[in-house]
Amino acid sequence: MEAMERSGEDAGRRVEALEERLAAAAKTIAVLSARLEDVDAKRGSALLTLTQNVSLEKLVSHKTAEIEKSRSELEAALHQLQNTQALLLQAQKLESIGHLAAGVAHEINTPAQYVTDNVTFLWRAFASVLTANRALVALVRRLADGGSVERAEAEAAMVTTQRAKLDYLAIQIPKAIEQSLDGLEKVGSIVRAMKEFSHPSGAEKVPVNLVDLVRTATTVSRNEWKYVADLEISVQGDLEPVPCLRNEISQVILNLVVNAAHAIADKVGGSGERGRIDVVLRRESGGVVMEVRDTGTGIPEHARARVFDPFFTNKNVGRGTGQGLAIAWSAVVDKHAGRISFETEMDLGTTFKVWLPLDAAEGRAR
Amino acid sequence: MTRVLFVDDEPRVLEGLERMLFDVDTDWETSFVTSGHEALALLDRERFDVVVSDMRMPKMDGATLLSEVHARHPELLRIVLSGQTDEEGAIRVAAVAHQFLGKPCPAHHLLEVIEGCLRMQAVLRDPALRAMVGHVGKLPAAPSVYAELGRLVDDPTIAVDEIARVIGRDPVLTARVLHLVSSAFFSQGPKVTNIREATLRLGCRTIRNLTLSAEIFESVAAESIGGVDVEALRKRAEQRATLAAMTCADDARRHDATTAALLCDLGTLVLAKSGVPQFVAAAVDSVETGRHQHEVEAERFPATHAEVGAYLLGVWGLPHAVVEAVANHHRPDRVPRIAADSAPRAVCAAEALLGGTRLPAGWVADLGLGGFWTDLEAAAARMKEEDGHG
Repeated sequence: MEAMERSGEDAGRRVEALEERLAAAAKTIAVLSARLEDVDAKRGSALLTLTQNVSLEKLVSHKTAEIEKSRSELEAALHQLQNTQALLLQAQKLESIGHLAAGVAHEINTPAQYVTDNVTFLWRAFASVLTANRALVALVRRLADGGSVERAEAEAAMVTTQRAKLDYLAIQIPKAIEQSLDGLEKVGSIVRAMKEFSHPSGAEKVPVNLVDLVRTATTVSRNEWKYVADLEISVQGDLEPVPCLRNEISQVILNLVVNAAHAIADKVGGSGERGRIDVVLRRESGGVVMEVRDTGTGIPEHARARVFDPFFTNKNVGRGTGQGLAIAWSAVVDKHAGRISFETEMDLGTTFKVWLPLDAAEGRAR
Repeated sequence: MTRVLFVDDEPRVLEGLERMLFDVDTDWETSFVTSGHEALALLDRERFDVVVSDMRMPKMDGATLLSEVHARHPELLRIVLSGQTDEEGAIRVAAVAHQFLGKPCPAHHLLEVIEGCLRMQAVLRDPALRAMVGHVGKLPAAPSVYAELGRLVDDPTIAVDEIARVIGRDPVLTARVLHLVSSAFFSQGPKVTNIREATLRLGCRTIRNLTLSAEIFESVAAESIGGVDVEALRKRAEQRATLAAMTCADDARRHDATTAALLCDLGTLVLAKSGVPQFVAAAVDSVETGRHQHEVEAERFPATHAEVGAYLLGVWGLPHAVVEAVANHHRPDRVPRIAADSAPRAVCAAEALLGGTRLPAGWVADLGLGGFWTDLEAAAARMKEEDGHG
């Protein structure tokens, strides 16, 4: 009996709820109907359609203008990026020249010193020889003219000659001249190398003999490696000129050689031992390979993946900002369609390998 | 017999130097080595007077070599002949080198510099005292001035003139700045005694680096060192410089006179820093007996603080007028009595005005200043009064 009463109450409540919902639905239908009538009434208005269309067009053109603006901002940003990259390259080059400047100055000032001293010596040596010569000539002339010479006079002339130290001069004068000419040649080659290195590339690639670039780079950087390593350049087989931007590739070679020197310096410290830097060039698969091998510290495991990252460096302050290899990558890979890679073993050394295609198209195809 | 040792890793430089000496009128005995290690080994075995070294050498660079020479053979004159070096190296070596020349250095200049240094041996004849001067490293600047300099160099808005003004108030700072400026690394051109110009040539950045590196100037924690009141000495130096400037009518000579007057007691600081006990005793003695300090010194040592200071300034390459003035600032009898301005005379006069020397009869008249001398005496008296109040 109770159960039935309860279910009865339930049912009653359910019915009430449903009736409420029915009433709400009816209301909704009424509102929608009214709206539909409204719309129907308006649908036919041309003005409405026109207004709607104009708004739409405005919206589209506004959106188009926004996209256009974004596009030109993007273009400007790209331009700026390219300019910055060019400035960065120039800055890196100046930085590396500046870095090397003290070393280059030393390489020039050293021969300048001994040339100065040798020439000063030659001045005095000449005066000395002339004095001795005049003493003897005076006596000989007298004899040639039929006169005579006293023994004492002859002895005095010999004393003058001895004071002139002619034996010493006979050995030292030629040496002084030879070493001075050699020193001036050294200065000339450094200045030439600096000029070549600083000369801006054109925008076009030109065929270049890579050996020349290697020689320039090793001359400019001599003071960095000469105290700690022996450096040898070797060419295996015939080499064809490679189309490249001189400046960019010179910079790459310079960075590799200086890095090699630093790696060796880190390894030998002040011990007085010397390492080796070998720069080897040869033809390989449609291009020219240049390897820079050093017997330095090697690149540690944790650094190997980041070697070409911009600003990555494990060097102390004052030894570079870590731009060198990032720029090398950009120059070799992006600008010359070449390849750059390295092999390294801790405490044994590192070999960097750069491949440049003889034909740019061929490079890109690979 | 003067013995000169040349050190350079490039054998051709050494050969050139040897040839350059051909037929030159010196009585030197020369040796040539290609490394710092060889140089030290040779110096340990044999007596030398001068060492001339390159900077950039493998294994042991010039700065390291000269530091070793400074420690082991302080009596030697130390000269750098450098192809190029960076500022950090130059500061390191400025602490131990007497003079710094740049390559290429013409033969006559190198010879002049070496001979100039050797001539100073006549100013300070006692080898032990020369070794003492050679050994001295950092000298103490007056604490107040050193602190002010430290504040100024840290402020990027401060003008060079202000820094020059502060440097010009302290004998040690002045002496060091002039020493550096006479070095080919930090400046080219004729020698300066004008402190403002010297500061300009060095530049704020270099002075800041020098102050920070603390290798060249230092300050003393205590106010006195070896019994000497550094601040009092500095104050007196400033007074002497003011009086010397007033005595000189000629602009050019005035710089020499002012600078020399400021540097007169550098020798006192050297002796105090070196802790020579007889020197301290002489200072005490002069106070007790009321005699002039230099008179007591002259009795007890082969030389007085005047010769010690002059020797140091001389081997540092400061101009001859300054060196002479410092050497003779208590010796009016040695100063030429011609009626022309000269730094030695101005400095002597200033020292006498401060009561540090008795002037011989007629000396003041010879100065030819007439009534102006009374004005100078009045100025000196005022200074003394201020001291009394201070």
